[in-house]
Amino acid sequence: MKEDNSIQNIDIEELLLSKDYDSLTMEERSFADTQVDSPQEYSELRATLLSIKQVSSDEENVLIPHRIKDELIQKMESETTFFGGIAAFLFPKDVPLFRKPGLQFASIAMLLLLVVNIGISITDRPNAELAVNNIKQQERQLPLIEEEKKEEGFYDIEINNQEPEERKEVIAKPEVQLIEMDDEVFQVEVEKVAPANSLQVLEKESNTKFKKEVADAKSAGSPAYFDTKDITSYLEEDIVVTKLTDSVVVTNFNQSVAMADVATTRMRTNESTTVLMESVTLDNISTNGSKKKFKSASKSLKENEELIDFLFVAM
Amino acid sequence: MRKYTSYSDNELMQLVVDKDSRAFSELYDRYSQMLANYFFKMLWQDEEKAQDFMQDLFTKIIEKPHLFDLKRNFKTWMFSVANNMCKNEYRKQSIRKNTSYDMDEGYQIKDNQASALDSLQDSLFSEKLTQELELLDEKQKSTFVMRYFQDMSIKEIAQALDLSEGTVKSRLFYTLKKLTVSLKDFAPQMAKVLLLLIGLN
Repeated sequence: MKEDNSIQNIDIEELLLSKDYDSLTMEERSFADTQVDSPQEYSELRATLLSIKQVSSDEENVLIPHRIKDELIQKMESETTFFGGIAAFLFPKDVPLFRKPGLQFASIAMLLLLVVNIGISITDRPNAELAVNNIKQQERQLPLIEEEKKEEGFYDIEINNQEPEERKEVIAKPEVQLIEMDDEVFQVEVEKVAPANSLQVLEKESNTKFKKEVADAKSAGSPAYFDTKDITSYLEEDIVVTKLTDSVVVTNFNQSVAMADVATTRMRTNESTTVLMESVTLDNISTNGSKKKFKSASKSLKENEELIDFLFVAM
Repeated sequence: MRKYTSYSDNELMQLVVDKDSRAFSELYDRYSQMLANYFFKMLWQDEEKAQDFMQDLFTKIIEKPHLFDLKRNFKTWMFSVANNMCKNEYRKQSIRKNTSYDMDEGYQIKDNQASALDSLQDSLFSEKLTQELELLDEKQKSTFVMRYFQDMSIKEIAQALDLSEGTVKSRLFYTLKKLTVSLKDFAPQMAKVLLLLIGLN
């Protein structure tokens, strides 16, 4: 390019600023002629350039508020502190809000927190629901179970939050336990039963009194009395039930005892003495439905008839 | 202790890298006005925009001082950054066509209203020059402004714009010719030249 090569060596701008066309040397004029079409153009270019120089020198400066420097210095000083540097790194001013690293970190942290919380709530929910259902099912079924299992004496609690094949039948062992015991031991146990206490005491007293009278009669050789114990054992097989009274169920803690089949037999002696004999069959209701019968026999005297009637009424 | 005013630009910049706020303050005092004027000329005579851009440039210096190559001339590096900022702004504005900065219509009206009688007035020339500068393309404008409004040497301009000195000279001369055609009726010096020519005759 002609323009480029010529200007490399001689600076046309210097010529225009310093000399008019007529003042140029021969060498300068020959160079100027390669750049301009005519001396007039040279003059016009010079005039324009001088005017521009004048205008630029007269140009007023842009007003710069002092706050800009203050802000920049403040920023510079904040950069020097450790936390200021971190803050400047996390929240730079010249980037959009969504591109600020601090905001991005905070968003990620919140997202993670949210995910973890949702995860925890999701994993916990099924159990919570099953637990709620369990309670409802139990509440709903308990009365039925009680109805169904009443006689058997145990509760069948089904765990409904498990699969049917996995359900476990939780058998609440009846608090009633079958105890085989001798008559004497049973008698002692029966004595412990509160409602029967008074009866037993009275019966015991009357028996003691009766035994004493019998013993006295024997020792006196009186034929009016005989040993009821022997008769009781003799009549055990052939006892005639004349009257079936109401059953009385006595509960001693976990043990149910039914006093039933109370038979009253009137036996005549030679002396036409009426001997009242009671045969009490105690049913022990067991959880498996089987019954074990305990039999107990007692005798009472004619003079105790009133007392015994009272006791029956009481029962 | 050595005064910061006696430090060279690059020495000060080295201190700025080490977070020396006083060195930064000294650099700001040296170049803030120059940069504000440059932005003002380059960005449609918008004073607020010029202030904002100047502040942004110094903010970049604070935040990323390590981007400055200490082997380079600080002034030319700073003007190259400023020039790139202007380029980006031009791109933004070119996307937003028909903005308030599209002053072609305004120029036309003023051209029509211009009177030959006012051509000798400096103020009119200045105004016309400003308008004509706006019509230049970005490369010519930046070169011209750096040269005649920032008093930068051909070498400095070449470094700032990453051009050869010959290209800078050529670009300047070509721009001068173009402006002369449009400003010849307004140039005060032209009137003197014409008067001189008449007197000689």
